[in-house]
Order: sequence, then structure tokens, then C-alpha cells
Amino acid sequence: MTQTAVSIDARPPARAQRRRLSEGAAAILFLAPSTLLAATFILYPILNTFAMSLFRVDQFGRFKAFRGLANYLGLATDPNFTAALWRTVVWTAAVVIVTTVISLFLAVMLNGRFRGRALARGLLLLPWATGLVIVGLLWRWMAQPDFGALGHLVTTLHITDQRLEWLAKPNLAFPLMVWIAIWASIPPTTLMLLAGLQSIERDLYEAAALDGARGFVVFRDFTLPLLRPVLAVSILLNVVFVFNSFPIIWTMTEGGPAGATDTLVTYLYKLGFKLYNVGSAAAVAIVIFLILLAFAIVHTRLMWRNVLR
Amino acid sequence: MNDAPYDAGSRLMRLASLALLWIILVVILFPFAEMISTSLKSQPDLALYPPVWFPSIPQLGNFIEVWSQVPLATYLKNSVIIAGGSMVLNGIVAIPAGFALARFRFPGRQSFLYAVVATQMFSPVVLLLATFRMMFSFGLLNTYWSVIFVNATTALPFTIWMLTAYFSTIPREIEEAAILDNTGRWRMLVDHFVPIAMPGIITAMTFAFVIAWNEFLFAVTFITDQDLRPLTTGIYTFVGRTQTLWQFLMAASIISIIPVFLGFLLVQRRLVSGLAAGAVK
Amino acid sequence: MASLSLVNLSKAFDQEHVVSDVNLEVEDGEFVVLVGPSGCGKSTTLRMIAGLEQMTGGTIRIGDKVVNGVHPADRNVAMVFQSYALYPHMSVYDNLAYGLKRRRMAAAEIAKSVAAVAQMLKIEGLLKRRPAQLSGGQRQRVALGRAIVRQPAVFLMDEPLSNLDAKLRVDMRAELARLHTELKVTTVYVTHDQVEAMTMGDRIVVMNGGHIEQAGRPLDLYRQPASLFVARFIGLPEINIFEGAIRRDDWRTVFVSPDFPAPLPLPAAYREGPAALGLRPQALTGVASGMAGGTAIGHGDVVAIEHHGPESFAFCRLPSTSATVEVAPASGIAIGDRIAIFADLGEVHLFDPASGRRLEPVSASGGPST
Repeated sequence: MTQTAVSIDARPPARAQRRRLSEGAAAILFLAPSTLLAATFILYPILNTFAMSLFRVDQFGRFKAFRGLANYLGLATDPNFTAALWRTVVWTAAVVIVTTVISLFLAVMLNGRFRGRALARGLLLLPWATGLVIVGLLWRWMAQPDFGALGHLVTTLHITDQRLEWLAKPNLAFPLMVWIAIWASIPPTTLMLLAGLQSIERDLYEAAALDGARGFVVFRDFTLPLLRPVLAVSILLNVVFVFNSFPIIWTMTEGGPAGATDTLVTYLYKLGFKLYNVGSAAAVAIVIFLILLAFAIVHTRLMWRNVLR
Repeated sequence: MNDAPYDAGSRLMRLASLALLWIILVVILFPFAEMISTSLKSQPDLALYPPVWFPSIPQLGNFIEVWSQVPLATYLKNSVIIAGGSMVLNGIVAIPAGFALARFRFPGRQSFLYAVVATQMFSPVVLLLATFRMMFSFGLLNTYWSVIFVNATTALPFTIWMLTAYFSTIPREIEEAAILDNTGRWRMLVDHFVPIAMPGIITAMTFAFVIAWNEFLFAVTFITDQDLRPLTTGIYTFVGRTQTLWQFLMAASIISIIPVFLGFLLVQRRLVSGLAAGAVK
Repeated sequence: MASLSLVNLSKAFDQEHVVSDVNLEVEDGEFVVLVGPSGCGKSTTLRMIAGLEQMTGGTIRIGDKVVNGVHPADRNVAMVFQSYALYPHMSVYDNLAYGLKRRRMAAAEIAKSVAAVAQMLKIEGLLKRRPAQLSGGQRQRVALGRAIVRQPAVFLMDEPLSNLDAKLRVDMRAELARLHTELKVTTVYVTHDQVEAMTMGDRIVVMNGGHIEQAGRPLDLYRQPASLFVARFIGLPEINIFEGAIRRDDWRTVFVSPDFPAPLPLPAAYREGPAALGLRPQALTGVASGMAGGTAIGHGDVVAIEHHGPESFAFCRLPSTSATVEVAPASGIAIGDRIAIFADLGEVHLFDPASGRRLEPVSASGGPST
């Protein structure tokens, strides 16, 4: 006969009701560290940058003279700036569009089953694991006019026999760097889109198949609409990241020759750290931010109503 | 995870697609073959044109010699410290934040989430100047801390986003059972949410580690002391000499990639589902 | 161990009430079952007792203490969740011990309590395992154990047996009943299964659309359903409801309906007017030929037959509705047959079709009641 379950002695001690934090107070505590970190290293520098853009600032960061919007106006009349601005837009558009298309294809392929799929997925990670500096240097080696593999490849494919100075000629360097950025962006984008595809219910495909939809039609009418939120996020992140991309261009041409392959970010770096025109460099930074903010607003309105619960 | 069921499209289309897939993969991996090939060449081999895939005598010794060509061991150590430190700092602040955003109800929660997304728009590159000034005035230039702080912050939007998504997937009833068990919020996080969401946390932290490991611009700007420089800047020093020793540069690069690649492979499956959780939710 | 009191309990989301005006007194040691269809508010009510859901209005007392606004962990209640909600990353032992640890019980005391509960539920051998390594029935026991070990004033159970297969469910029902007898803890048990409700509860509370339809002992609800809803909800197969009207002659009260060729005499006097008449299948007998006990009320065409073993039921079509009628298992009645239906009119239930409420007999003015 089982004895009555638990002895009275073992009842948990009665304690006075303990004081508990409200949800709001707890939220503040839990969010404080990250907010502090972000405020210190993002928010404060943003405000600082904005302040710097209104002054003439020396290389030690000392504010010299208030210039109001003069730095901005100076940029507007600076042909190097406007060239870099235009180049950055082209750069971003080309890289993001091509990357997205190729990645979409890869993601769809990797979503289906075939032999060697795990291998393919694993190999795809390699460019991402490498880091953009090494990527830049690697391609710089391959673009070496005399010994580089790129020239050899081009000759083998019978495109041309000339000795190509890839990095010395902006007409060659810029497209090459665009390609490299695409090459480097494909892995993370593919994985992100793949993740989105994986979350689409299998039943949907089966129902569509029973309804007679196949191949491309399935993709267009079912997959693509369901993938929209993920695509939207992917495009937004890519635009921001590519727009601000520094290492590839810097390690390959440093924006040269003579600023012919400068994007806004490399131009910013030169202004600030080579020419010590810190105020103008800060103005460039603010311009970049405003452009991206505008894009984000427009993009969000266009693609997406509620993604954040 | 749902794979697409066998597509009843024409066999020809499938073969063509597969072929295209492998072509793309080859194109993507071609530079790495080049990297390996170059790392095995001797100095004269490099000057060969047309370049050969396999040098007549593969110089495996390059991989040994590279350690003395530059203080590679020091660079490696610094990278480990910096990336490790960034990851730890990021984790310390992001995990409670992700938990609060996932499970607490409070006014301003939506705004905070939007703010997290918004900070992704500010590339630290753009803030380089201001951050440099700040580090200068804090006296942190030329220390590990300068890059650790920046790297931890850079990864913050990503990791908070991912962690919020992971923590959201834990069933509400488990939390309620714990509430009835007299579990306070901090205990809830430490005793339950962290252990249960550990795969997701590892994924997010891997992310943070890799971002810091591959970071170049801040490292090269903030740290001038050779003894403190990480791999990314160290590798870059191969360039800019009168003659670039490409074979060693490649060897050093490969050494730099291996730990990251292995780490990635380990979390690869998790990475895909993690991105799904973050992107689709 | 304590009593539980719900006074004017309500819960609304914006303007929509999911629970309105629930009043219930549960005695110390009583086993009360909240039963009803999905969305009737039973789970929400349970969760409000636990404190996991904020109430919009009303008062909850546990023992003598008003617990409105009191943190769930301070209410001295324990809950068994439908999904068990075991901590997946902890062993069974730790699952059981966790609540006690959080309440600063000494380790030795915890060990004793856990051992006692494990023995009671026969899960001693599982203490080192993780939930993922357990079967559904074992997990259920651990979930129960987690609640028991805390020795709360009230047990709250939210459809704990729903995830078990039928056989296991029956076994666990008996087990829960045994535990209740032994532990005598006040229990509020939520289920959508009326069989569970009928067999387990000291009292059952039928809920619908956020309010209580009727509360009382199971047999009382079966014999005297207070509304059409309760009459339909309790009893298997479902009660037959016939639309019609009550008429009174000089000396008798009858029920007329398009379903019956002749008016049915009623056992008591009722007010005239439209009415819904309920007769359980067990009160109706169908025969292919000849007579049966009770009053002949009409004929029906059989469209389906269910054999339950000791009894069989035929679904028949009547002029304006259908009815379920008990037939002898060996009768050989088949689909398409026309059968005669006899009713035990002493078992009728009458309801107002508009409000659904039970109609009570009125004393026949001046005349002898039938």
C-alpha cells in the first residue's frame, strides 16, 4: 500500500511574496547593455560625424571653424565626389541585381534533392569564410598582367590576346571588381534565400503539382510570392552592405588610378585619412547615410507591410 | 525544413539546370584552386607564363616558411583574441537583448526592433573617422579593446535579430511552467532559454566571430603596433613591399581561412535554419 | 488544499468577451471539470486562475486570499499542460526538482520529495532520463509529478490526456482518479471530451461561448439538462431534438410536431407555446414489426446503423428531421428499412426554442395534473 505521497515536512517553505520587477523595468535592464554599446559606438559617432560635417576639422580631430553647409556645397561642386557618387550607384545596382538573380537560381537548385548537394552547399561557404581582404588580394594576384591567371583564362577562351592591365585601366578594373563583389555576395545571399525556401511548406508544392502547375509556373506563382519577405530583406541588406563596401576596391586599386574607380566610401577614406579634410569626409558619410535611409524607406514601403511582429 | 519534392519537369530541363549549377560552382571555386596552386609555388614558378596549375615541385615548405616570413603566429594569436573577445562581448549584450525582445511585452518593443534593423544601415566604415576620434580620446588606440568594441557593435544588429528569432521559437508553455515554478526572468534566461536555444546561440556567435575575424579596415586604422595586428592586416603587409611574395600571401591566407571554414561547416545546417528563423519571422 | 472561488470572472480582448460572468465555488478537495467545445473559454478560465492570463473583471479567491494580481508563482497552484511542457534540457529528476529548488528548499528535502512522488507515479526508473527519451504516457506522469511534488493548494489541468492514445487515456483516467482520492487536492480539470468529464468529475461545469451553461453533478446534468446546449453536449449518442409546439386541451398537455403523426402526451402540464422536445436515443426503441415498450410515435426510414456491441443505434429519417433510435442488435434491421418508433415519454426534456432554456412544468390550474 503506497503511503501518502509526500511528508508534510517536505512542503516548500512559505516565503513572503517576493518583489518582482515590472515587465517594462525588466526590459530596460535586459536591453541596457546592448543599447549602451550601440549608443556609444554607433549613435555617438553618428552625431559626431554630423557635427564634424559642419566644421573644418584638423587631422587630430579638433574642430577649427564653423562652416555650416559649406562642406556639403563643396562636395556638390567637387567632380570627384559626383563621379564617385554615380559610380557607387552603378556599382550597387549591378552587384545586387546580378547577385540576387544568380543566388535565386542557386537557392532553388540547392533546395531540390540531388547527389552531392551537401557538398555543393559546403563549398558555397568558402568565399564567405574567406573575408574580403583575402578575396581582394587573391583577385589582385589573378589580375596580374604578366603572370596572373585571369589573363591566361581570357587568352585560352580566345577572347583576346592582348596583355591586359586589369587594374590599371578603369574600364577593366571596375567591371572586374563588380564581378568580384558579386562573387563574394553570392554565398550569403544564396544561403539566406535557401533558408527562406526551406520554410515553405512542402504540401504547397504537392497541391500545386496536383493542380497541374509545374516547373517555372510553380516558381512564379507560388515560390516567388512566398519568398517575397526574405527577398526583400536580402535586397535591403545587400544594398546597404555593397554600397558601403570598402575592402575589395581598396585592396585592388585603392580607388585608382587617380580616383577613377572610387566609390563614395573609398573617397571618404581618402578625404579623411590622406588629405585630412575631415569635415568634408564627414559630410560624405552623412550623404551616404541619407541615401541609404531614403532607399530603405522607399524599399520598405514598396515591398513589405508588416514583417516585424 | 522542407525540400522541394521531386519536380516533374522535363528531364532535359533538370539536367540542364544541374549542369548550370555545377558550372556556377566551378566558376565560384576557381579562384580557390588558384589560391592553393599559388601557395605551392616557388619564386621562379610564379613568373611562369602561361601559369601552370601544378608546379613541378610543390613547395609545401611555403607553409612552414610563411611563419617566419612574417610574424604569422603573432597575427594568428591576435586574431583569436580579437575575434574571440568580440564574440564574447557581443554575446554578453546580445543574448539578454534578444531574450527581452522575444519574450517581454513592453511599450516601445516594436520601435526597438526597428531601431535594431536601422543600425544595420550604418556601416561602421562610414563612422570610421568619428570612431577614430573617440578611440583616440579614450586612449584605446593601438589596443585590442578598440577593435573588440567596434566588432562587437558591428555584429550586434545581426546577432540580436537572430537571437530574437531563436528565442521566439521556444514554446510558450515551457516558459509558463517555469513561471509557475517561481522562475525569475534572469533565471528563465540562464536556466532554460540559453540551454534550449544553444544551437541558435552558437550560430549567432559564429557569425559574430567570423565578422570580427575578417574585419580589416578598423584593424588597420586603429592598430599600428605590429605585435597587436591581426591576420587580416598581417596578410596585407605582404603587399606594398617592393616585391609581393604571392606564394606566402596565399599560404598565409589559406591558414587564415581554415579555422573559419571548419567552423562554418560545423554550423552550416544551423546557419540555414537560423537565417530562416530570422528572415521569415 | 484550499477552496476556490470565482466571482463574476470575465476576460475580454478589446471588446470581445471570451469569458463573461463566470461564477463558481469549488470546495476544498473537490474535483471539478470544465467542459465545453473549443473556444468556450474553459482554458482561458483555467489560465486566469493560474494567473497566466490577466482577468478583465471579477475576483478569484484561493482559500481566503484574493489572488487578483498576484503573481502566478505566489498563488500556490500547480498546472499540468496539454503539451506537458517538460523542460527538454533537464533530466526527469531535475524537472521534478526545479520548482522546489526555485523555492529554496534544501537539497535533501528535495530528494525526499522527488523520490516519494516518483514512487507514487511509478517513474522511479526514469529519473535520469530526458523527456525526449520518454513515451507519451511517461511524459504525462512526469508532468503530473511536477505538479504534485509542489504540494499546491489547487491542481489545474489543461486537457492533460488529449495527447494520449485511447487505451492509455482510459488507464490514466483511472490513475488520476486514484491519485485524487489519495491526495485530496482541489482540482480544476479542463477537457473537451464529455466522457472524461462525466467519469472524472465530482461536479462538471459545461461552458459555452464564454459563460457557464450549467454546473452540477454529472448525473444531474444528464437527467436534468438546463438548456438545449447541455442536453446536446452531454450524452452519447447525442440527444434527439424535435421542433414543435405545446398545446393544452382541457385535461391534457400534448406536443405537436410535423415529425409525429399524432400529438404526444406529456407527463406534466406545461405552458402552451413553441417548444423543442428532447428524447435521448436510449429512450427510443425502433422495431421493424410488432410492438415495443412505450408510446408509438411514428415511423422512420433507416439511413445508417451503428453497432456498439451491447446496443445498436439506427439513424432514421423522419418527416422533417432525423433521429437516432436504439434498436436490438440482433434485430437484423438494415439501411432502407422502415421502422416503427416507440418512446418512453417519461424521459422527455422540453426546451424553449428561442432561449434554449429548460421548460418547467406548471401546476395545472384547478385540474388534476397528468
